[in-house]
Amino acid sequence: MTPKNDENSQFSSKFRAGDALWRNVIKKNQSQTESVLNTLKKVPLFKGLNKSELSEFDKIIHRRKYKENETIFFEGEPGVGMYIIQEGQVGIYKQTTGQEKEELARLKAGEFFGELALLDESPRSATAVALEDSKILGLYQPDLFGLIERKPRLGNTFLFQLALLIGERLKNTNEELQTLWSRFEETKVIT
Amino acid sequence: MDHPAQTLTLKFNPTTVRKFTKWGIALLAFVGLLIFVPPLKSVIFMLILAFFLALFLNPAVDFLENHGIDRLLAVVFVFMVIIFFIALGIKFLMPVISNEIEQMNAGLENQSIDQLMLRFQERLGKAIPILANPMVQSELKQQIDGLLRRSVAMLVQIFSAFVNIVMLGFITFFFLKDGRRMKKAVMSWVPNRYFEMALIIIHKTGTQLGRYINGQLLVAFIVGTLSIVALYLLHIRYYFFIGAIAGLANMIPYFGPVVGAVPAVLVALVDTGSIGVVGGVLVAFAFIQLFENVFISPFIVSRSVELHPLTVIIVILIGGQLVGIFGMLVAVPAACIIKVTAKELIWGFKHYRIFERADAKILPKPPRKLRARH
Repeated sequence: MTPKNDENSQFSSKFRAGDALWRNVIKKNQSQTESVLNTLKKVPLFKGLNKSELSEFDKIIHRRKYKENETIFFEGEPGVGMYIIQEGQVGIYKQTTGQEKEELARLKAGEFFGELALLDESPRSATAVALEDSKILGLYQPDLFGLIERKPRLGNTFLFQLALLIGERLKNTNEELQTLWSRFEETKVIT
Repeated sequence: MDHPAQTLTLKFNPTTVRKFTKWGIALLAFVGLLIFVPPLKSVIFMLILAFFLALFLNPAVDFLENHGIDRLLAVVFVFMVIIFFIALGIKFLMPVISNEIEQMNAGLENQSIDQLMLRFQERLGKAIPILANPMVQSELKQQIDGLLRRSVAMLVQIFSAFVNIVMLGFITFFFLKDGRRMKKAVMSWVPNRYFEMALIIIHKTGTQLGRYINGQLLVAFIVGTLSIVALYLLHIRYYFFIGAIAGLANMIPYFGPVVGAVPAVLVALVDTGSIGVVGGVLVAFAFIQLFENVFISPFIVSRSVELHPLTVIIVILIGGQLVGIFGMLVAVPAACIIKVTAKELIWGFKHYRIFERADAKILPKPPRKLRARH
């Protein structure tokens, strides 16, 4: 459609500008959603979920930005949920004696931490600090429980994956405990 | 014996203090706006009412969503059910209501208010001799006169409220449909440091409030229905209106049941003048209250809103003084929000290191690996 006069052309250019603005906003949102879904796909807890199921999680996931050296949570604080690193790096620290802190792990994009807080509000066992400017996705217990109530099948799939993960860790811990125990027994025999 | 001196030190981070001051000023400005711009007040009231309604309807929408129905469709379905029931109510109750309004009109036209008052005073004087005193009578007349005039003004307000109801429906619809997204948007403004605490506070407050409102509305419905049946059986005129008012008034703790019984007693007194009928009404209302307190409330209304009776009374009085009947209705839920928020804030300040610097530098050590020691 060609504008008939100046006023019309002005209106149409304004309209186009507005239109472009909205298109940009929507595009930005879409690309943000895509990026969240891509991050979730990498996380074993969301294994086997299709795109529409993942987008259900996207609806309850909070996107947070942390600056370099900003604490995500402190050891001893009540835990409310888990965090998935979308971009950046996170250090996990444990307080040793006094003011000293020991680094337990460094996590990169696609890795997650604090998942046990989804099950209970027990205190965080370590401190998490963003080691560089990071984008982190937060999945919290009240939102997860809401999802389980509204979409039980999807909630169950997630909980099953969480149970598998925790079971796997339990197996590893048992193995480590067994190794330690046998070493302890050995040292007892020697002495 | 020497005791080490116990000192409580709070490390205030200047940025945190600045942020708190900023939010405090913003809150004060908002309250100021509310006080000085009256139309804004009614918009806010409507938003609050829509929010409460959405909280009330949310479980139904969640239930449908649980059964695999899309949220938008679930909200539309719930609204259609409500509209259906309103239409059904209008169809079956309108003849009763219009009949009652006609009767009321006829009653008022046949005898002027003065005549009505004279009859009322006469009967009241006979029933309770102290009230035959002319001083008391004139005061009583003035009061009731004012009450009747105010009730006419109230009727006009009720009609204008119909327009607001449509608006209320729209807002509630969007609260229900996009509530979660709105909550997420609001949460995105919360700084990282307070995020988990804010999330827990909002969740706990919302859950308790939802339970309270659902319970209160259900109890109001049951008490209203029982009152209508009782008044009908006692052959009290305008039984439907008075019963419905008693049900609604029941939502205000302690004061509600008394307020609800007043119109019934007045009508019984004016109409029959018989102490027996008035006694019957009182006994019926007392039984309904007993039934509500023993059998309904313990099972329906959540006991989680544990406010001391004195707190409830004071809060209702303040609500009534500030915003009238609406204030009395929302006083307890508002007190509940304040209580839960304050409780969670105190808990949060104790458990979260809010006042500590969030960007404290930590010197990393090389990762410790258990297996590496083998």
